[in-house]
Amino acid sequence: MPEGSIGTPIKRREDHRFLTGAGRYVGDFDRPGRTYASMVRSPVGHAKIPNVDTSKAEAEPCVVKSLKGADWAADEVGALSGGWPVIAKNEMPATSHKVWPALQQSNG
Amino acid sequence: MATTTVSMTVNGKQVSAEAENRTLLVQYLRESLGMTGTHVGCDTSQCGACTVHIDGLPIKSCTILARQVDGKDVTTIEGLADGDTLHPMQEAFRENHALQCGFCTPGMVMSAIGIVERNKDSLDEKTVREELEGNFCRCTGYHNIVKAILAAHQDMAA
Amino acid sequence: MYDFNYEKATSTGEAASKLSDAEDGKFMAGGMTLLPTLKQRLANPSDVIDLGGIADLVGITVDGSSVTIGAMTPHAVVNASAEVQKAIPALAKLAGLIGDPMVRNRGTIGGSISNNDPAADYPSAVVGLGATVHTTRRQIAGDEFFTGMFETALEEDEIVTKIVFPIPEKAAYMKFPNPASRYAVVGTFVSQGPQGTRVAVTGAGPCVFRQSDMEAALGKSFASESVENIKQDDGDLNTDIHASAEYRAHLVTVMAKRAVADANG
Repeated sequence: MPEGSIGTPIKRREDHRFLTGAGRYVGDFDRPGRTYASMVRSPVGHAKIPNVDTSKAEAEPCVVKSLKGADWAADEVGALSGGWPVIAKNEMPATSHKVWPALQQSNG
Repeated sequence: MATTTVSMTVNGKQVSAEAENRTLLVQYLRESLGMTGTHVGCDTSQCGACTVHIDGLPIKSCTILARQVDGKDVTTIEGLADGDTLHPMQEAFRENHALQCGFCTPGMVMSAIGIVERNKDSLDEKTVREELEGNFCRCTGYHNIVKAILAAHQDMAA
Repeated sequence: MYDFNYEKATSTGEAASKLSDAEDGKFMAGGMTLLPTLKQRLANPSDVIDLGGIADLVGITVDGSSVTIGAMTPHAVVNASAEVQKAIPALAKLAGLIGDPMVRNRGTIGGSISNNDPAADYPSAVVGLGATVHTTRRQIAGDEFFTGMFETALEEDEIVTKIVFPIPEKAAYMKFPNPASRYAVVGTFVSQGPQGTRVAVTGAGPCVFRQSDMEAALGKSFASESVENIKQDDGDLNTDIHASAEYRAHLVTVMAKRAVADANG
């Protein structure tokens, strides 16, 4: 059966670059001012979040900005499907949900 | 931050670049040498996307300092193919549709070559699955990866 | 990761003197625990002294009565050694159960026992075989080496050079691995030989320990029936997200039973 007939697998054109390390992913681009985000995740589900103290993180010289749920809400960042917030604000929707991301200059 | 010149052989070529003491091998490869074929998936020595060979042995390049590798011989995914001819392991991955998004693939291939080299005489599916435990794929469910490694074992023995 | 001074030593003497010179130095063997710890900023040493360049710490020698493993020998080498497989198959097998193949190419026996993670595998072999730990200063009996969670009898600038394992008549290691990390939720090493009858348990408590009730029972009859009804007290055992103390206590008996059956093979 010739390649491409119904029921025969087709070789993917993109595989060659992925197999030789020539794929391009977001993390491979280096642009001026690039920052890395690190996420703080909740160790428990459905916990109330009375306060998130980011002062210590913000005092680190490499930290550019830290964003809490309130910042995301203020910027009108939409929710994930099902209404889940991208960053939790008052209550954790689930274990490991993100509490706040901090942007840093290096990924060290 | 103080830096030191770190030199090593990467894919047969002598390279040198400045690195901080805390620079990881994977950062040295990706950021100093611009070789982005080696990926950082988890950065916690679990996912294996950063696997490269040092002096012929697969290791996780996110859990070794560049300075520890000074003077050593490193092979990355970019160094496997011979011109347009893919390495038998790369070819087997292609033939067996052992990749989708391709993010884990460099580490999978480097790790898979180690599996075949450790089990030259005979290799079965159970061994492949056991020895793949340091590599995560979040697309394919491993089935075709295992198939590809078994196929490459045949080709590499031939 | 915070930055640090990096020093590579070519002898144990040089490593020890570099550590003495450092404000707050740390030895690094394979780095499989130290580097993740540094990356999480859980440690902030002034100096990291790499032992990776000390060639005479690597290697395996076997004679009629013992297996000697250099401190910087990677797990993969112990696992693949035909000599170890023949003399103490349980030890070769244990080395092959640590982490994954890439970790086994870097992680070392000396690093593992010096770190003394409560869930590490090697401490159970050192205690379970009655091995002797040789250091730059002295010889320490396996039973005396592990003193608490991440604590050993080592002095600050003392380096493990080799571990001498007496060859047993029978031995086996069984572990219930954490499905993600492969660390031992519970691991039990049993042996019978020149060091008597031994049952060493890792993963269950804050530090490896000998299960004396099981040792006494196996001393009378080395059969899995001897241990199957011996309950481990859960009082001092670990409880975490992976398993409760009660569950770990149960696993001690199950792993011991399986290990004895395996040793009797």
